[in-house]
Amino acid sequence: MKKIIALFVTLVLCYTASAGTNKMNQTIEDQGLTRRYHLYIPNDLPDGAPLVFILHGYGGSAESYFNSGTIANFKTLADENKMLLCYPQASVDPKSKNGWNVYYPWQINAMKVDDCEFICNLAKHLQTTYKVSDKNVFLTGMSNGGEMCYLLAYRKPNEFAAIASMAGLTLIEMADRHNYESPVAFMEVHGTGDMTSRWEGDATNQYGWGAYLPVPVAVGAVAAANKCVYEQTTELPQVKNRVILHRYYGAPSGKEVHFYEVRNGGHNWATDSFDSCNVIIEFFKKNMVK
Amino acid sequence: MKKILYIIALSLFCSVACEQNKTNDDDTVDVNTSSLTYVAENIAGHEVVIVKPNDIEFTAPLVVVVADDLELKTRMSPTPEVPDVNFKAAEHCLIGRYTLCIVGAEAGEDVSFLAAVKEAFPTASKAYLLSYRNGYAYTAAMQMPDTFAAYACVSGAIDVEPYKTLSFTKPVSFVHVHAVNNPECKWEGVEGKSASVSLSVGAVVAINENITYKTSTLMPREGKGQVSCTHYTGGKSGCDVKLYTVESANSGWCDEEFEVYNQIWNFFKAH
Repeated sequence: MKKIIALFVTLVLCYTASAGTNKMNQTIEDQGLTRRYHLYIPNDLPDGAPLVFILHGYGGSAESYFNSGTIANFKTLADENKMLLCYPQASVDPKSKNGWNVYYPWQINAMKVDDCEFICNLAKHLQTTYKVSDKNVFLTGMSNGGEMCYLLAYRKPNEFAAIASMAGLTLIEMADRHNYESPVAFMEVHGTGDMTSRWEGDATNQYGWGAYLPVPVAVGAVAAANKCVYEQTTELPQVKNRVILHRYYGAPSGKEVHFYEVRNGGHNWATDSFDSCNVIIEFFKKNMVK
Repeated sequence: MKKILYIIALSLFCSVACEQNKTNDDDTVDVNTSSLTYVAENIAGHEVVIVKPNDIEFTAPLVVVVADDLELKTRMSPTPEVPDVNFKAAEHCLIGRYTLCIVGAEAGEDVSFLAAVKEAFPTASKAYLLSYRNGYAYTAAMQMPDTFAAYACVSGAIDVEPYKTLSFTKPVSFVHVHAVNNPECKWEGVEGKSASVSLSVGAVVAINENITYKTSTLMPREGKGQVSCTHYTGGKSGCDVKLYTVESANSGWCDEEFEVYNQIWNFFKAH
């Protein structure tokens, strides 16, 4: 009986927390594959509303992210700010896991799909179908989804008004293949105690994900490409782990890089240490193109 | 008898060697200033001061220092009674066996002049550039990355104005020394003037495509702020970057906190 009441309360909370429309299991044909995605459409979404992509991690799914309590706040914030949320699904990679093609060693020669093209094609499709903005397109993602944030910053900087990576990495393969061609408003949130996507990097591919840059070096590369010149360091009010924001600004383009260093934080959205969903959406709002 | 003479000779050799090691470690040396030559010269229309050991080798390396202010005759005069920081910096060329050429900051922003300075020492085996309390080492690294074998910046940072139009185009080896509470060239940058130290160093790390770093703490001097060194290495270019972070408010050489001249010279020597 208690379980039924708890379930009922949860359902009521979910209903009240996000009042928009869920559109599950939408599909689009892309590069010879049928790709799936879920949408969260706030009520009374106006034409030209911003579009936010939320990318899941390696082995994860769009559905688990769509239903995740950890990042449920994205839906509340989408309601408040009238943003269309899109949760795309990665395809199955050569290790038989759902994975975005970010040049992990086992993906390099065996995975043909270009996920950067897929995300951009999906954006165009949603712009046509739902009349959302073609300028205010935003991207966030966690872990493997965070790696997509860096890869899209390299390859498609002009397609996004701002990008926010959560526990993402720059694989050295990315840096070898691409250069940052245009400035991009970028955010990284990363735990110094992240044992999966290690703060100090992995230059020799000791841990199997492929060689990757130390996180401060990866963020520094975006700041350098933007030509940010000033740094402002502030510590957020402590909830659990200490969170230090390094704000790099003063770039000719005005595009800033925000680096949230979560002291001793692990491989997660860091929602127990600060309201990361809200911080990401606020960053997107600040970079909204008029 | 031979054995006794051998032991005496060995003891003497060891004591000399130890003394030399001690000297190199703590950056102080009992300098006989008469063993240094100070010459004021004019190169390409600018006054420079050349400091070198009297018995310097023909092919000795050259270190060009762009100083923030150039009161050459007073600041560089070899008077041990007034051992100001520049004097200590200058005397280090006795230890490192190199030629020091000090130029003023107003000339340092002219890269063709810096090239002319290098050309004025055609026999130097290597040439290095150091900017003191200004960012000309960064500007030069952007404009003339092949001219000097390595670059150094002490208590300066990227100058914001030239950085609007200039960019790093080639990897360079670079060492930066900075106090975190430097009140003049602030770590976080000075609006319209100098960039943040992290971003200045980060820009070189980015162009070098360094892929790893290691931070070590230097032995602290009693009563002085801690000094740590972050060494960025790896990447295809082979160029590396060192950042010495000094926990103090020093806006000068930071030589009270650690053996800065040796550290910079050792970095130069490695390139």
